Amino acid sequence: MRELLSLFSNMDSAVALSARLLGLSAFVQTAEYLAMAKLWRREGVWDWNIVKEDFNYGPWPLRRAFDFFFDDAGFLTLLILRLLAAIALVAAGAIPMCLMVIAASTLLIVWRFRGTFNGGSDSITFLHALCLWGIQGFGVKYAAIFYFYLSVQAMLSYFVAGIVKVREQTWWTGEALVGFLSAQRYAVPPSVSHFFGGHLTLSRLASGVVIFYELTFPLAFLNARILLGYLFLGILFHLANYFVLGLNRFFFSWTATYPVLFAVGLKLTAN
Amino acid sequence: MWSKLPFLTLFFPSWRFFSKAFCPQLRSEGREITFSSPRRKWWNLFFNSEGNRALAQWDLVDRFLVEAQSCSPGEVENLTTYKMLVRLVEPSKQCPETEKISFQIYDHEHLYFETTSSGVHL
Repeated sequence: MRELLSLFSNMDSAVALSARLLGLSAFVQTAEYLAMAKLWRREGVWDWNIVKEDFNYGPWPLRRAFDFFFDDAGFLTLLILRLLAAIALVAAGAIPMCLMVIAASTLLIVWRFRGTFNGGSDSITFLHALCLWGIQGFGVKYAAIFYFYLSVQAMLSYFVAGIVKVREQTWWTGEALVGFLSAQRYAVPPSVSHFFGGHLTLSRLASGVVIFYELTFPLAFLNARILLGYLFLGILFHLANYFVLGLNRFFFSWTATYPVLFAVGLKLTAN
Repeated sequence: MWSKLPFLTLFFPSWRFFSKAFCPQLRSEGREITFSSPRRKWWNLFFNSEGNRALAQWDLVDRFLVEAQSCSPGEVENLTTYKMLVRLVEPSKQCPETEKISFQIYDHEHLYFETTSSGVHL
């Protein structure tokens, strides 16, 4: 515990570790986009010839720029560039240029696919890369703004998710969880969906635990040990989300922010 | 254009994950369309392109439904998401701008959207 505290009390080490994890997260995402080339290349569902209709406005240089980045060859180049930036981050930590490439390419990928590709993982990846770039690129004077913004958004991602659930009657009864677990789209292991489908009380209990965790997440910043416990539970939570719902990108995107969250929590509790 | 491009949502995301268990299904020409992923293995944590492809396709169905419900039936076929959905449902149709197919989006309680040879029904 003492070693952990001393590691994260140095903000630079926390940023370096967070950048390496961000690189791993971006690497996983990009490798998957490359493997899904059939989806975005000519005659795929996200064929640029269809999607570009939404970009047929504005001045011609802008439209040419979209064509350049988003046709098959341009998008492939963008993904390869992103993959290289991700590898460099994993190998060397927070390199401002690579962080900027990850942030900019995430924005372009979101545009290319007309919205986030996998829930909010694109959003947290973009904010994470942008804030780490801001911390590295703008110097000590402005770093606090970027630490603050990343921590607030990461905290809100749990808190708001808890708020929307607590306001929904079906989450109180456990029916919402059963509904998600029985939806074809998540390919939930049959043993899990049958178990919760047959035990509504347990589904209600599991829903309550998730809502409690999400709603109380901001309070964890009041104490470093509690925050460490919450982040450990967060790792388990996202792992469970992968095994049950298949959301592997969420695991990497969110846990990559944890070193910065913990370092910020330590600063807050120390003051 | 800018209203269609998610920009501000990246800086200020809504974070409204899993609020309602709304998971509509898709049927075309009487057959159910599913985008399934193979059974997950532990190593798919590090590489899950099949699973994420399936999720993206389901997201497209949801996004189309949201856009279709905010326009008139006559405008639906002009939506980019409609053309993408045609490509998704019937990959052999090479010209989604001109070719029509029939499909329904529904769940166990409602029929949300239907397009047939006689037109679009919301």
